[in-house]
Amino acid sequence: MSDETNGPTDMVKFAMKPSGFVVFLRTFLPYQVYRFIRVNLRMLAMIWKSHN
Amino acid sequence: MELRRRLGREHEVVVVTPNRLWNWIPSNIWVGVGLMTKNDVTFELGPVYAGLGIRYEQARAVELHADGKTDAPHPFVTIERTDAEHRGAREELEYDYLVNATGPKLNFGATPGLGPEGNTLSVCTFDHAVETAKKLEVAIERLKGGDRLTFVIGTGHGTCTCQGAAFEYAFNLEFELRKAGVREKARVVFLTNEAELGDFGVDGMQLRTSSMIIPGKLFAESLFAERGVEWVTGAHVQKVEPGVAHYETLDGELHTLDFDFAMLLPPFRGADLVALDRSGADITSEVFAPNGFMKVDADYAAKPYEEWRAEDWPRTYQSPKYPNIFAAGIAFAPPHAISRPRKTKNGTMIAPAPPRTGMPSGIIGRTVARSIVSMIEGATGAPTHTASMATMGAACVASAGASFWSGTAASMTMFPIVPDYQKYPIYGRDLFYTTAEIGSAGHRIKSILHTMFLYKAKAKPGWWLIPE
Ligand SMILES: Cc1cc2nc3c(=O)[nH]c(=O)nc-3n(C[C@H](O)[C@H](O)[C@H](O)COP(=O)(O)OP(=O)(O)OC[C@H]3O[C@@H](n4cnc5c(N)ncnc54)[C@H](O)[C@@H]3O)c2cc1C
Repeated sequence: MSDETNGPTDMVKFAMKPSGFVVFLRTFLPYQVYRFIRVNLRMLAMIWKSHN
Repeated sequence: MELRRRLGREHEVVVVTPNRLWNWIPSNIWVGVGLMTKNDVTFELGPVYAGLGIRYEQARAVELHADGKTDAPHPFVTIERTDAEHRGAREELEYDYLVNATGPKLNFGATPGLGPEGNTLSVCTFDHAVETAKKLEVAIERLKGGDRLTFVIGTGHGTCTCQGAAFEYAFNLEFELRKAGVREKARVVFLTNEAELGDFGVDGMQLRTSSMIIPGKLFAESLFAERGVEWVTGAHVQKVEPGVAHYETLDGELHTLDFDFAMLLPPFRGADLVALDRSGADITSEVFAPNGFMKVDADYAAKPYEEWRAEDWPRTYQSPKYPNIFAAGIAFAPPHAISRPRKTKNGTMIAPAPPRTGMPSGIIGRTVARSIVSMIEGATGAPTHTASMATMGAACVASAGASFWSGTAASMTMFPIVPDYQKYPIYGRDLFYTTAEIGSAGHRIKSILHTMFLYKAKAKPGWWLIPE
């Protein structure tokens, strides 16, 4: 019995991690307004396809 | 509501539900971290149904008599009242068409010590979420006092579904800890039955980015890594004692994880309705699957993962035994899982059950309602409308922290929900519609969905224009 997880060390070593710029863009308003429109259009297209 | 809108007033629509309040379940996550109250996510059902001309019975269905009784052959359900005045009283309710939309029974009993009556917390109902928020507040005070605490969030059994809800709660909790300035004193661990992060019970997904196609696992892991949330995958929680979870992993090893705060989702089963024939003999196994969900027009023949096909999934949701009975949403029995089921060397099944999230549940409900309308109007004796989870997509916006400026969410779409490797070789899905991204745009969408679906559920003007 042990108390183990994939722990912080493994995570940092093996996981893909976003760059500082990507993290910045995630809350950068002008970019997110653009993404808001894109994501909504994509969702609407998918919803349309699913309903039909 | 769809039935009432489409049927003439000579037809009666009756809703049987044990609840007085309607709950927008996705926002229970925000109740569970103290950002919303019970009132923000619920409303009284009575006035809404009265306004629509729908008869509302506050009761739970307990028995299904689809052949009626020897002396009265009309089909009926036995209902048991849940309102304070008549609690426990039983009545018979006749029907011509029946839609079973009883959702999941929260099966905390499957894991000893799991659930609010045991040693873990939950956000599955608004009451659970309110309690969880109180415990979180206490934990944050302890962190402020200098304690170091471990938070374990995830699934409480190897066959759980709804990993998305656990994912959302983990990141909302992590976000609140940061907001409170105590993040560095907290260890947050995500404990999941998924074989890989990003599986979500749909066998994961491949995502097309501007430069390459990446497995959803990488996308999910990157968020965990960025936020410093540890993870344990492929875990079946065997039991939970006060402050310690015992779990087995896919390699068959047994582990323990100490915690100060644990929110673990239960596995789901059907509402456990009993079906009886005209003589009163129990025919439950003919109408319902062993997991309590209702059998519909799916292919339930047991077959290995490699032989699973899109056609196994139901299209009309009609009971094969009773053509006037349908099951919608979580209540229908899926033919099999979507994710590859796995067994440990000790014989323990660690197999995420297939999710039936809001969008497919809503589309199925609408489809069933339309089929019933055309059957009543005599256009046909068979269901006219179809909606298979293998030909419909799902949009899921998973909150990763709620705040107007800095809140983010993962906006995910996939098409179809059930991979179809005949139609979409290699990935099983149309990668144009299978996407995921994280950002504050997602958080704004999630907030809009909260307002929009409460509007729709309250049957405000034009509610039916809002798609599921
Ligand atoms: C915490 C959490 C967060 C979630 N977040 C999301 C999300 O962000 N997006 C998403 O798409 N999905 C989400 N889901 C999943 C979503 O809530 C479900 O897919 C959806 O509610 C299923 O709808 P349903 O009608 O089948 O079941 P339910 O919504 O559970 O409705 C079933 C109803 O039947 C009633 N009932 C039960 N037994 C009986 C009986 N015997 N007789 C009569 N009535 C009965 C219940 O009280 C309930 O009112 C979340 C789930 C949870 C738990």
